[in-house]
Amino acid sequence: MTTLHPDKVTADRLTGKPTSGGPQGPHGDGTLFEDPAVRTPLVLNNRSLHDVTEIVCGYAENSPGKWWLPTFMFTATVAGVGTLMILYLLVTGVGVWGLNNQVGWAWDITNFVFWIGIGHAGTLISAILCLFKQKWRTAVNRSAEAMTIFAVMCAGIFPGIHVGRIWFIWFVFPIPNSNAIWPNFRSPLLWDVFAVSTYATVSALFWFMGMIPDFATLRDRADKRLRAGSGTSKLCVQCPVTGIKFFHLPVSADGIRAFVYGLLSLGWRGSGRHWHRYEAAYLILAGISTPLVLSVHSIVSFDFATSVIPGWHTTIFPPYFVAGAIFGGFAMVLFLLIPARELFPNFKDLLTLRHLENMAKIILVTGMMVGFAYAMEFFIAWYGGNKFEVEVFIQRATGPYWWAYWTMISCNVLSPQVFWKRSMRTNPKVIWTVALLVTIGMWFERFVIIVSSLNRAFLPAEWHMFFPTAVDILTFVGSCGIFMTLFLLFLRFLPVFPLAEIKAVMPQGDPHGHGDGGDHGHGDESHLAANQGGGH
Amino acid sequence: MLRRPPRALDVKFVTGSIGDGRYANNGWLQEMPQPITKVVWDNPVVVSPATAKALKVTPDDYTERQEPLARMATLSVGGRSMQLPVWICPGMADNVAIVTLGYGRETAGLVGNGVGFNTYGLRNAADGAVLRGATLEKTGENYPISSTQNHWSLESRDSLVRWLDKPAWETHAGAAEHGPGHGVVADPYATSGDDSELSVAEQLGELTHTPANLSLYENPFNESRGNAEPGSAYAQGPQWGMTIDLASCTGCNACVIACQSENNIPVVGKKEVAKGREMHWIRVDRYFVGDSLDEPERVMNQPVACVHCENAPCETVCPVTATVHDREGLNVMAYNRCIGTRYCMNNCPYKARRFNFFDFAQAKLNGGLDPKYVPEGVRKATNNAGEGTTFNQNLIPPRLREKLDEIQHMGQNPNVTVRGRGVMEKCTYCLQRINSARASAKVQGLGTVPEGYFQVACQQACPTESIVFGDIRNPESRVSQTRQNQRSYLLLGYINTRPRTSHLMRVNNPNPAITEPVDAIAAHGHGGGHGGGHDDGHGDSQGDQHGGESHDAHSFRVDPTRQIEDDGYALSLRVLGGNGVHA
Ligand code: SF4
Ligand code: SF4
Repeated sequence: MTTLHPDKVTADRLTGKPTSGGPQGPHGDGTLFEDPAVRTPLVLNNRSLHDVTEIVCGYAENSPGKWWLPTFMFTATVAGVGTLMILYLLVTGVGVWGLNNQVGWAWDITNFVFWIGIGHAGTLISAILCLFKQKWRTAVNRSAEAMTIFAVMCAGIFPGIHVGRIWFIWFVFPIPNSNAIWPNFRSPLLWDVFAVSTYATVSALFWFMGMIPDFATLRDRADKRLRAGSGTSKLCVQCPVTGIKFFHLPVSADGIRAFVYGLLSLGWRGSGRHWHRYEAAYLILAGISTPLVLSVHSIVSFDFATSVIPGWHTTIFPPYFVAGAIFGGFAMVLFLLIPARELFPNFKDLLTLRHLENMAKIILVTGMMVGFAYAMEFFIAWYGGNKFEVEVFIQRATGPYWWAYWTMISCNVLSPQVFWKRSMRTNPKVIWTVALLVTIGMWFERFVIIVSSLNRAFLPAEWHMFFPTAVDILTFVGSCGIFMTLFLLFLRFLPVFPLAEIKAVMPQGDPHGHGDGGDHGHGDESHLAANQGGGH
Repeated sequence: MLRRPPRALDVKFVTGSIGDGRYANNGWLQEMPQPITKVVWDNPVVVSPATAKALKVTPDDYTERQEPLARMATLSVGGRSMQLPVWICPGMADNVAIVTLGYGRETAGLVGNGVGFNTYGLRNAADGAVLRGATLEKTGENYPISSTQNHWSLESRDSLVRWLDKPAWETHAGAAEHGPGHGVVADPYATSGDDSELSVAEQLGELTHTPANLSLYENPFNESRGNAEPGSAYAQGPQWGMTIDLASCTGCNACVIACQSENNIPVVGKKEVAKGREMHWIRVDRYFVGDSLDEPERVMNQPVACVHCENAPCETVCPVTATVHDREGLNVMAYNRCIGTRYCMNNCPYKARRFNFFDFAQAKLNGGLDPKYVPEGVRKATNNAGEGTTFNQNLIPPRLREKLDEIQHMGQNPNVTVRGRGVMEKCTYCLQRINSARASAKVQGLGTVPEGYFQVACQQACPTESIVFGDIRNPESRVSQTRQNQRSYLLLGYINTRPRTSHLMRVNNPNPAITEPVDAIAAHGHGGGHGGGHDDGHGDSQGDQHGGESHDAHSFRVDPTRQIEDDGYALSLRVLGGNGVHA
C-alpha cells in the first residue's frame, strides 16, 4: 500500500502523471500489433495490480468531474417527465397514445423490443464470451451487464403500461386463484413474461455476484481510511459560489461507504474458499445465461412469428431478432463507453482501442446478419407467392412508412460497412457515430416490423396510419432518461470494472511470465485472480 | 377524364343519415359512415376525383392530426355562396357536386349542434334538388374530415370481394351441378383437392392468388368445427354460423346501427374516428374496383364483423384467455378477464376487434370525447362529462365517477354488458339473443332452438335480407343452404381460420350493350389449372393475359406486381409437390 492517500494518487493521475513504458502496440493505443505472434496487452501503460485497484475504486470514491452533476440532473429530469407521462397514461387510458383499432401496438412494443435487445450485449459478453475465454471481455463486461439490467428495467415498463387495465396485470401470472383460471400458456405474450423475468433475474444475479469482491474492496478501503482517521470529515453541502458549507450531516462519506458497500459485499473476506465458490457460481451463472442470450429474443420474436399477420408471420424471426439484439446491444455499449473513456481518467488504459475494435468487428458481423435477414424476408415473401405477404414488403419499402424502412437499412446495413477498414474501426469517433446510427436503426427496425405490417394487413378497407402523439414520444424519451440516469449512477457509485478479472488478464496474472497478457489461456488465471484481486 | 377545369358544375342536394336535419342530435347517425364516402360527423361537398383534380381541391393526405385534410372551397350557385370542404368519390359523374343538407344546426341539442355546415343557405325553397351553373373555387384553407375508411382501392386483392358476370356464373355453376358437388359444396372448409369440390366462388379465389389452404398438420385443437363428427362436444348443440350476401347488400348501414343499439356500442366522436378508433362491431367495407380509381367499374360493399373463426388467431395469443370458444362455435369475449393487451386485435386478420381506448361508454354523449361539438350554452346547462367540457372523466377512477343517470341507464340494452376502458370488444353473434332463445325454447318444450326462432340484430335490420344466421349443423336451416351455395366463399379462408361467417359472391348482370361480360375463370385457363399453366411455359406472358381473351373490360385490375408474384407462386407450387395442387 502506498503511503499517499488514495485520493491523492487519483488526483495525481487526473493531472496527467501516467506511468509509461511497456508494450503498447504500433499505435501506442492498444490496437493490434502487425506481428500476429504478439498480442497487444489488455491493460496499457504497464500498470501494476495496485494501480488498477486505485483507478477503478477511484471512480466510485471521487467525484467524476464537473460534467457529472448537470448531466445527471438533466437525465433525471427527462426520466421524471417520462414517469409523469406514464402516470397520465395510466390515469387517462391507452388512448393518449396514437394507437388505433388497426395498429394496436406501435411505440409501446417497439420500445419494449428495443430495450430488451439492448440488454443482449451484456449477457453475451458476460456469459458466452466468458465460456469461450475471450479475455478482452473483462474490460466491458461489468458495464455491459449494468446496461443489461437497466435496459431490461426500461423494457419491463412498456408491456406493463401498454395494457388497457394495468390493475389486472396480475392475471398474466400463474397465481392460483379461486376462479381456477390460468393464464393462456399458448400465448407468446405469456412466454414473454416468463422469458423476460427469467432474464432479468439471472442478469441481476450475475451482475451483483460479480460485484461482491469489488464491493468488499471498496468497503475495506473506506474502513481503512476511517481507522486511519483520514476519512472522517462529515458530509455537507458546499455552496459552489461562496464556498460556505452548510447542511452538515452526522456521517462521513467513508462511513456511508463502509456501511453500504459492507452490506452489499455480504461478508466477503476474500478467503480461498470464498473465491472457490465464487468461481463455481460464476461459471454456473454463465452456463445459465448462455441459453438466455438466444432464448429471450427468440421468444420476443415469437410475439410476431406465431401470428398470422403478413410481415410478422415469418420463421426467420428468432435468429434474426437475436442477431439484431446483439448488434444493437454492442452499439449501445460502445455508445456509452466511448464517452466514458474520455470523461474518466485512465479509463483508456483499461478499455483500450483493441476492445473497441473487437466490438466494432462484432457490429460488422451482426450488422451483416441482420442485412441478410432483411433480404431474406423479401425473398421469401416473393418465393412464397403469397400476395398479401409480397404486398406488405413492397409497401414497407415504398409505402407510407418508406422513410422508416430506409432509415433502418441505411443505419443498420450500410453504416457498419465502414468497419471493413481498419482505420475506421480503430477511430473512436467513427465507432461512436456508427454506434449511434445503429441504435437509431435498431429502434426503427422494430417500428418497421410492428407498424408497417399492422398498417398494411389483409383488408385494404382497414388500412390505417399510425401517428405518434406527444405522450408516445415523451414516454420513450423518458425511458431513455431512466436508462441514462441509472447508468450515470452506476458509473459514479459502483465498481465499473471487475478488478479480479482485469488483474487476471494482466501480465502479472500470467504465472509463466509470457508478459503479453495474451492468449495462452492455461485456465488458471482465476486462481491468481483469487490471490491478487482480493489482497490489498 | 377532364382536360381543363369545368366552367360550371351542377349541384345536387341530397339528405344523408340525419335526414333533413331532424336526426342531427342522434350520435349513432352522426357517426354512421356515409355509404360510399364513409365520412362521419360532416357534410363535405362531394365531387368526382377528376373534377377535384381539375379544380385543384383533391383532399390532402394525412396530417399530424391523423385526419385526412379536405380543401375548403367556395361553392357559389345562383348568387349565393358558401365555404365548404370538398371530398372526392370515385365513380361519380364529372362536373357534379353533391351537397348534403341537414347539417350545421344550431339548436339540435347536445350532439348535433354545430356539426358540419348548414347548406340550406345555398338554395331557396323554390329551387329543386338540382341547381345548375355553380362554381367551386379553392380558398386555400384546409379542413379535417374523419372517415372510417381511408383507402379506396382493393389493391388488386380480388379474392376479398368476389364477383362474376352472369353468363360466366351460369356456365360454371351449371357445370358444378353435374360435378361431384351437385350444386352444393359438401365441405366449405375443404382444404385441398379437386377444383370441382370447391364452390365456384372459392375457385375464383384460387385464381386471384389467394394461396390454397394447404396444411401440413392437423390442428389438434381443431374440433370446434361446423362439420364436427357425431359424438364430439361440438356435435351436441346448434353450431351458429352466418352468411352475408354481397349480391343483395346495398351498403345501407342498417346493420351497423342495429348492432350499435343492440350491443351498447359507444359513439366516440369525430376526433377518435379520425384516429381509427370507431367502435362499430360490424362495418361495411367499400371498395372501388376497376382499372383506375378515376373511373372505377363498380363499387363493392362488404359487411365484415367478427367471422367467429373456428381456428381463431385471436384466441391463441391472448395471454389471459379472455377470448375463448364456446360449445356452439362462438368466439366469446370475457370482458372481466380482458387486460387489454390488444394482441388479439393485431392478430385478427379481419381487424374485427374494437378497443376501448378511453372510457367511451361512460363518457356521456356529447359528440363523444370531442368538445368541439358542444357549444358553450349547452355545456353549462348539463353536467356532461366528456373531455374538455367540465373535467376529463378519464382522469377520475371509474368507481369514483358520477354514475350514469336513470335515463342513460335506460338507453342501454340491459342484456349486454357496458364495457369500460381498456377492454376489447367485438361482434358476439348477439350472444344475448342466442341465450334467451335457448332459454325460452327450453321453457316452451322445444328442445333445441328451432330454425327461424330468433334473429340476430343485423339480420333483423337488413332490408335486403343479405344476412342469414342460424345453425349450420342443421341441414334444413337457411344458413346451411346458403353456406353451401356455389356463391359462398370464406373470406381469407386460406389462413385456415375456418370462419363461421361466409360471404356470398356477387353475381353481376351487366348490360352487354354497355359492358361485355367477362368470364374470369375461363380466362385463367380452367382446364389446365392455374399453377400448372405457369409451369408450362407461360412464365413470360403477362399474368393476366393468357387465355387469349380481350381484357378491355376485365374485371380484375391488372397490377404490375402480378407478374412477379406469378413467378413466385408457380415456383412455390412446384416445391409443394408439382403443379397439381388445385389443378
Ligand atoms: S374474426 Fe377476428 S376476432 Fe373474430 S374470431 Fe376471427 S380472429 Fe377472432
Ligand atoms: S343492413 Fe344489409 S344491406 Fe344494409 S349494409 Fe348491412 S348487410 Fe348490407
